[in-house]
Amino acid sequence: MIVFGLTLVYSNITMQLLIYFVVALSLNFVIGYARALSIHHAALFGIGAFTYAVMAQRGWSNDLILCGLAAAVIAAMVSVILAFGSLRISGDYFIVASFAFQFFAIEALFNWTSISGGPNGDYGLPTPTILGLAISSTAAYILVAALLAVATLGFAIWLRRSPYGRLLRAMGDAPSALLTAGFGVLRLKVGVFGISGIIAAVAGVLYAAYLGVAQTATFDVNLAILLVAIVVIGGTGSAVGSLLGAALIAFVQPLLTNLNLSATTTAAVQQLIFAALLVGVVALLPRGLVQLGDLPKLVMRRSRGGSSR
Amino acid sequence: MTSTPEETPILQTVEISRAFGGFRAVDGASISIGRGDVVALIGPNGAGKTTLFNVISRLLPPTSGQLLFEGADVTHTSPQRLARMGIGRTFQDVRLFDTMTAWDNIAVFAQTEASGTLRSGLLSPRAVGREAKRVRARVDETLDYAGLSPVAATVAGELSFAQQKKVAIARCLAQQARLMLLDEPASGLDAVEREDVAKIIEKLSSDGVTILLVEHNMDIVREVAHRAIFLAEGKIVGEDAPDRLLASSELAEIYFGHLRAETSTT
Ligand SMILES: Nc1ncnc2c1ncn2[C@@H]1O[C@H](COP(=O)(O)OP(=O)(O)OP(=O)(O)O)[C@@H](O)[C@H]1O
Ligand SMILES: [Mg+2]
Repeated sequence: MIVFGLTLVYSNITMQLLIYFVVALSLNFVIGYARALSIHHAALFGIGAFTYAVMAQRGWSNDLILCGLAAAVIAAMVSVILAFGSLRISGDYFIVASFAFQFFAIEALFNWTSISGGPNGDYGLPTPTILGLAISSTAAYILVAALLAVATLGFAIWLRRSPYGRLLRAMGDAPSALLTAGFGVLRLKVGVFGISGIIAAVAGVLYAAYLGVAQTATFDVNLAILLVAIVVIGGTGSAVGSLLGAALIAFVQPLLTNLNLSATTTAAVQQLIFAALLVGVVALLPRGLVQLGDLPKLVMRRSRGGSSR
Repeated sequence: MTSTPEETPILQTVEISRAFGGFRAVDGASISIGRGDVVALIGPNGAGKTTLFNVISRLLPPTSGQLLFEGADVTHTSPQRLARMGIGRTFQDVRLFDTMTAWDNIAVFAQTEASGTLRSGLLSPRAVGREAKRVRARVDETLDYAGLSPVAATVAGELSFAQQKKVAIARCLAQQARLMLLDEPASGLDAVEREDVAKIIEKLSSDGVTILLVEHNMDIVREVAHRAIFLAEGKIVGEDAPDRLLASSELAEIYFGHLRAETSTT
């Protein structure tokens, strides 16, 4: 198999790409359907990672399916609470509340050292198994991540076409009209937040198992904003967009590392690049990178003095 | 076709009020709509017509008063429950699902309550298939009824304004509403389009649907309504056959005096 020949760098890029893709797709459910700009997705991703870390380190289980189920239950409970929150407070206030949740959840986890390992994190995690099979090679990790990505993508496509998905889209467009069609919004919101949180947490389980470490710093506000940037830069509500956004992040990080800058400089340069991309995309391609094919048309229209809308 | 006194009205509001802060947008309004009636709710801008619709469809709870639908007290019923009981409505600002096609807009209103759960789509492919077939038939039939079949696949946000208004009415039809609240179905339309909408309203009425409509265009009111209710500052100040009500010089002063004041400021 070709994958066996991949260098460590390339397998890292592939893993990052697949995991970010899954997490971005799941974030898209909340941003696209519930129209809630959720900043707390990194925390849900982190919940998955620490579920694996705790379960594997204490010898409870290192089975990805079992840990995934446990993470799913915890993330679903947290997501349901946040969904209720999004019903009570909407728009900008939700963004603030979501940001606060992200910040304080990770801060609390950091201080709960018996779970998170404090500043060092939980390290030296045992390698995982799946249905009794040990996942020991890089190829095996990539295969599992690819399966997760394909399953998530398949689910997203199915959801979009299903009658349930039709109601979710309607909720995003005009929630009050959906009420007059006989559908309560609460149940749909809870559903969408739950699905989204569960997928992020499952991705977190795989991520921690692959890295062999879980540190709260990985899932802090920086990642939270990066995830939102992936979705917005790629194109809200678009699976292709999430893939483009995830690919961008996955490739830019190692490219910068190759420049041999200091760690802090690398981080700063990376943040600058994403800031520039975010502003550029929002200004030129309101619907994200998926709109790239329309760019000449958009520029032409703008230079003729017309509006881009 | 007014209802006989012994027949239960399809809709009754009893001394219903809705306040925003200290301001009473609807102030002790009692109306009664008989089965099969076409009633126009008229009155100057800001009279509280849309607010009354919001209260009847329970998107806004009333501050006081009682709401009866087919004799049952629905004052504390949720809007989605009320929709399932048979009250449909359109919005003054249309509120279509703009990113969805006309077809999907109507399908939302044809779907069963059970389709609102994720479980319903995951279990029993046969039941899912049967339900999809039923929805498809209902939506196609509704589009045909409203003359919208040619634009079925067009995204709602890209339809003409007249077509959007028709989709809004078609949605109520797809949900098999027995009472439709139509908020200014003809506003913003040209004469031909208005006539088109009037035809649909008459067709609905002849098919047994009860209609309460808010409208500023008095030609439409005269053409389709059996009765008109005049609302001013949240209170009902007159109720009669449209021609007679509109002939009242006192009400004309409230209505057109208001319009005059408005046009002179703009
Ligand atoms: N949500 C709200 N909060 C505060 N005031 C409101 C609200 N909704 C309506 N109002 C006020 O209530 C009054 C009645 O408004 P409403 O929209 O019911 O009038 P209308 O009769 O439908 O007028 P129009 O013919 O212009 O549509 C207005 O003064 C309006 O400003
Ligand atoms: Mg109004």
